[in-house]
Amino acid sequence: MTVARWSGPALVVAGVGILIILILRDPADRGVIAGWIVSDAAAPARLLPLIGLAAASALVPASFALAGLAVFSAGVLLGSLELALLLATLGALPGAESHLFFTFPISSVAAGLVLLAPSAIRQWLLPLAALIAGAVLAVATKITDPTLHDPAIFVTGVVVAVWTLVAVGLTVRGFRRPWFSIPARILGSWLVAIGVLFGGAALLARPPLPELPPAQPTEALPVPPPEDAFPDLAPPRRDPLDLGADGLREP
Amino acid sequence: MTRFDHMCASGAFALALGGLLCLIPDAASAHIIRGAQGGFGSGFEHPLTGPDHFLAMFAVGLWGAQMGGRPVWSLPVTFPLIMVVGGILGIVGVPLPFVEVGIAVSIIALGLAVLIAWHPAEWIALLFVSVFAICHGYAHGAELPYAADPADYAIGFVVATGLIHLCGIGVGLVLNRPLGGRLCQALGGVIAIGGLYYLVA
Repeated sequence: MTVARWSGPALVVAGVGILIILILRDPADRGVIAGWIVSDAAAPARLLPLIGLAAASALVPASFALAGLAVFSAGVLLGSLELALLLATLGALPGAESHLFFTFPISSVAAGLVLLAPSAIRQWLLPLAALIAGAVLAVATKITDPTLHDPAIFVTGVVVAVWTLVAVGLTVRGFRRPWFSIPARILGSWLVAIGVLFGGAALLARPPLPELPPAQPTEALPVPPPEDAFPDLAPPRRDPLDLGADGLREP
Repeated sequence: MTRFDHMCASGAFALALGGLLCLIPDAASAHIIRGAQGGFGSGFEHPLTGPDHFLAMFAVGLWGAQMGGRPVWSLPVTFPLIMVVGGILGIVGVPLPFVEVGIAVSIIALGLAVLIAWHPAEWIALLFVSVFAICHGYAHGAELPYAADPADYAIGFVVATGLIHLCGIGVGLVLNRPLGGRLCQALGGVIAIGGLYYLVA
């Protein structure tokens, strides 16, 4: 019982430790896979929905949690096999290409709704959310693959995701208390809020600022004639009628 | 440990975490647009370094804890969900006049609710909080499209908002017992005075 209870925290500590080691390494020496783990696989936007899903799986009976994990794996498989279809579907949304095809808000809202749901419904919603999260995780992993073809990247992404699900799920389950449903609902509200807000920011373009009226031509400043432009440098001017006492013009 | 002790421990943890993060130096202003925002760190410190946001969200948790029962979690759950509505309004650019005034009034109102230990029906409390959540969400939403990394920015500030709520809940649960809850009420009064300052300033 003790081993089962502490296996989750052990996995969490191991995962965080590996991540810290990777982060502390010189980026030039990380290599492609390690660099991708730091920048993409372990990014907050990738992990947060998985943490929510894991927390939800810990609040349902163990059989449903295992079913959720199996359905998540099926979702990953589905996402990788039907990548083109999913990309075409999600790509129809405005701004999809620049927002990772909305994989983050979709999985975030799905996980959040499971956490927010009443206990009786939660266990039935979990597989559906797991399927969605698995499919969009596959999409996100494929489209952020820096090598474009290396299967190791995809496998690494799936391993990180499953590790997160299992580690967090076991940890929460091992220390579960009746009042856990309170922070679970609060976490669910965060996930829904984050997903909707991010999706809204991406989908709803801010209206352009109203154009300023065309500038009115202002009255031109008086420009002195060229000979008066630099009065200090110009030769002294004489009035043509400025004659001397003898009636002759002064030289 | 009892449920109360667990909640106190959670609140103390949130308080300590929030306090540590508050030590990150930054300008103590919350909105509206100060230029390009960053990612997670920028979003996380945003509600923590803006005392007006902090006070309002802290008061929500405090008030929920003071009421007890379902409002302990229903208020902090409702706040970010309704905040999203305000955020969407801000993103779309729907004009919402007097947002800053609304935020200041929210601090005063929530502080007064704690001060007088107002225990309305739950739906009234949710409605009360929702109105102010719109103002706070609007201020955040107006900034979100300009964030360098909107996803991490959104994660950061929603998580920080939630931690402030938890902090308020923890403090509320602790202060509700001694002196018949008067300490909690006094804290509400201090928050209301803070709101008054923002309204005037």
